[in-house]
Amino acid sequence: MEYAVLVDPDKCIGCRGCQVSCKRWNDRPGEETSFSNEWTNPLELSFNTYTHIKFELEHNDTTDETKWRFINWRCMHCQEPACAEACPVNAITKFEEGPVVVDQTRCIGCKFCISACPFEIPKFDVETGKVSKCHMCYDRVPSKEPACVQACPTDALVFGPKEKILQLAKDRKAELGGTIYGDVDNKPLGGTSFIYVLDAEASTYGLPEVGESLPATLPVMRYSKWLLIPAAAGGLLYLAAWRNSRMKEKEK
Amino acid sequence: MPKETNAPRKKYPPKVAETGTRTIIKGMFQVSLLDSAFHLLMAILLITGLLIDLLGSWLGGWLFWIRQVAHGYLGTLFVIIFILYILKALVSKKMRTVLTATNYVDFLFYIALIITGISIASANAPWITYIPELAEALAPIAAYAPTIHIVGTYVWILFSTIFPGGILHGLATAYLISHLKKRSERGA
Amino acid sequence: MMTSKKFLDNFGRSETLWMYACSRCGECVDVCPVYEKTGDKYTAPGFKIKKMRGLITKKLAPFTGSPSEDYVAKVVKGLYDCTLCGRCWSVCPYNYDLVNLWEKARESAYGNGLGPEPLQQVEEALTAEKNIFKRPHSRRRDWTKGLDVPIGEKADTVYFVGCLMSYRGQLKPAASALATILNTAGERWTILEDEVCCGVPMKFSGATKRLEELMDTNIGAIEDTGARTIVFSCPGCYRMFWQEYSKMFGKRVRMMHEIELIDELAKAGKITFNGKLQEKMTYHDPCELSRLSGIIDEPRNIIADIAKGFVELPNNKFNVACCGGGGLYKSVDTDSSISIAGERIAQAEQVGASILATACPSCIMTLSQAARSRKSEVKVIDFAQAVAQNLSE
Repeated sequence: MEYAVLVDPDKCIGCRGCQVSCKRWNDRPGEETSFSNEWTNPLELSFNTYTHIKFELEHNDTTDETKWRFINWRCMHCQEPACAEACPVNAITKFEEGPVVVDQTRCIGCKFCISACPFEIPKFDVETGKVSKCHMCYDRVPSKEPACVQACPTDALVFGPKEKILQLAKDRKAELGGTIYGDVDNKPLGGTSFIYVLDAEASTYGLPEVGESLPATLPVMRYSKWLLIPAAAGGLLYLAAWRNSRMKEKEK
Repeated sequence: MPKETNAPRKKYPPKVAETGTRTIIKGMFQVSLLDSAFHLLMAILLITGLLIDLLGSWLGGWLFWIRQVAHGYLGTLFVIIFILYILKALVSKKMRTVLTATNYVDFLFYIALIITGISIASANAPWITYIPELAEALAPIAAYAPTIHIVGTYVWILFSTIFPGGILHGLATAYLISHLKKRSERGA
Repeated sequence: MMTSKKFLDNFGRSETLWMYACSRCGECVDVCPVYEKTGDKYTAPGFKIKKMRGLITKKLAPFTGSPSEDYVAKVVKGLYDCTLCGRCWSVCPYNYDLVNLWEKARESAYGNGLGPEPLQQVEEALTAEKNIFKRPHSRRRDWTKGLDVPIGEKADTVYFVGCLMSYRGQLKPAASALATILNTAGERWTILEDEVCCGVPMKFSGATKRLEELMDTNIGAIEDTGARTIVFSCPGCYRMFWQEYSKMFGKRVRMMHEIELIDELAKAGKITFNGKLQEKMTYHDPCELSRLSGIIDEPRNIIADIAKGFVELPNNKFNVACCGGGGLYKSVDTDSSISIAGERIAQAEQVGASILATACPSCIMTLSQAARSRKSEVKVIDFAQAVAQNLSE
């Protein structure tokens, strides 16, 4: 059975409880950050930081009103993950419960997933030479909800069976009058297991526009090894032509 | 009919008669360190690359060090060596005399592979933050770099098998080296 | 029309593979004496390999069409603009037997009627009179007149004179010098009653059709004498013998160049040297002898005994620079050949030598011709002459 998480930025208060619980559950060290003109902290996801809250302050000049947008950001856990398609060692698996997980023991650090992911999620670590990202707490799901969901005090993150979540999203959309990002309205890479219900356009929240199917470059890359067959055939033809001409010589 | 005199059958002078694997390797390094480094590294990179792409689904994590050291660090070395090598090839008249059109096309392939290789390696790497110009220049191909890198390699293999390029040269060399012993036994 | 298209058809397996294996390092381009002189890139060894490889690829690949006749003619001309000195081979990191490649390629070219005019005349001469000058075969032994030279007797040692030594008056002192040495040492020796060309010019030009005929004549004549040693003045004949004839002779016959023989006689005490040459002498290693047959130390051992002032030429021993007269290049392009030899003479002048000894009739001819045209003081002599002058009775 497939599970999903509903992300509702409208309910988010930016407490970063999800960030903390993610670190604790996954036993990831904290990161030393420096002062910047952003509220988001850490600024970027990293090998040790699977999730963070992006803070965006919107100011309406005509009404002179400000509005905070807090958006929980991590791997979207796509239905057809581009990262898994790009991985040459099949270290990335899409589970039927929803999580897309990087197997650290298989990872060889080739970074193809980093190039392939349209959300720029997988992160490489120089020290270990491997890639990691949010794994939707595949070690908890489905008996327990992911750590970030459990920590959320305002139900801005809701975990449940996908059908239920979709229904919830549709209801919430009716309330907010916005869009659903990740499923229903648009389906990046076949639909995602993290679904955003937004009160504005996805671009307002800085969410990328992603096509519904895998970019053609990935299957091209995966199947290009079959070019070895015409190459071998060409080589063999040469060999045959050469043998042939030498045989003729011998007959003479 | 003269009797046997046990006169030894004359062979080519030692320096010429010894055409063994060792002589070839030694000869290569004596003639040009740059040349041998270029060939050696290219062979290592090609073999490890093929290993990762063809056997990756079976070998998985075993390939970690191969990717990291043999394809990564040696790849960096190759980039430096290749730049020196191509400068030498284009500057020296004797090399221009013997290089074929296919060799020059090969160079273009190498350049494409090197650029995409750098692009892949630069993702999330700390050193790229010190060279923002390079990061900017590589940004447009970042998403396609792995595809160009891998498809480029296979197209190159196809190209240089059908035209007498690097692969055919490599195969002929490998075949000859493996048969050298027989040849020297036969007496030059 | 069709013949040029057949050039390199069914080329040897090993040769073809080597051409593909060629590492394109370009070392051979730098050392080629002909390329250095003419600057025509079709004479550069690496370039020839590249073009021949291209021709073979075109033959194997079905869709590429056939090369134009002009193109083939250019490549073939380059093949014959070559002294077969093997200097390209000596620098090849793969140590590939390039002399063999050039000979095989010439065979293919000549067999398809692409051999240059002068070399076709050589073949005619060899067919008609069994020597390269088309002089009457009956006069081959004329040089022995007035000398103590046994002809066609039973002997231990056969002196294989060779065409150049037999017919060129200029080389008569060289041949008689060796006769003197052999007589002084008290060897039981002879020259052949019916000696014919050893066949190496055919190998050079690629006209190998009648090679066996010549070889059989010589083998028969040598076996008749019952000799166990053959001695040569000409390194070309010498290489031909140890490479090709030895397949027939096996271990029954020992083949020696005159220098090896002199060295051996001197070591055995059969000949001794008295006074020493006063003039400054230098020695030019013939390519066929030093590079292709490996006789490098022997001449220097002997020189130490006979010459007071010995100086080495630059580019000596294994890496010797060709005199320009090898591989029938002199008959293909005389001017260029002589001007290559001129450089060698200039080098001899530079080291201050007045005598330039060498051990190859072809080198002597070419170098002395160059010395004449440069009006040089350097005297070109055969090694045996230098030795014979210093023999103690």
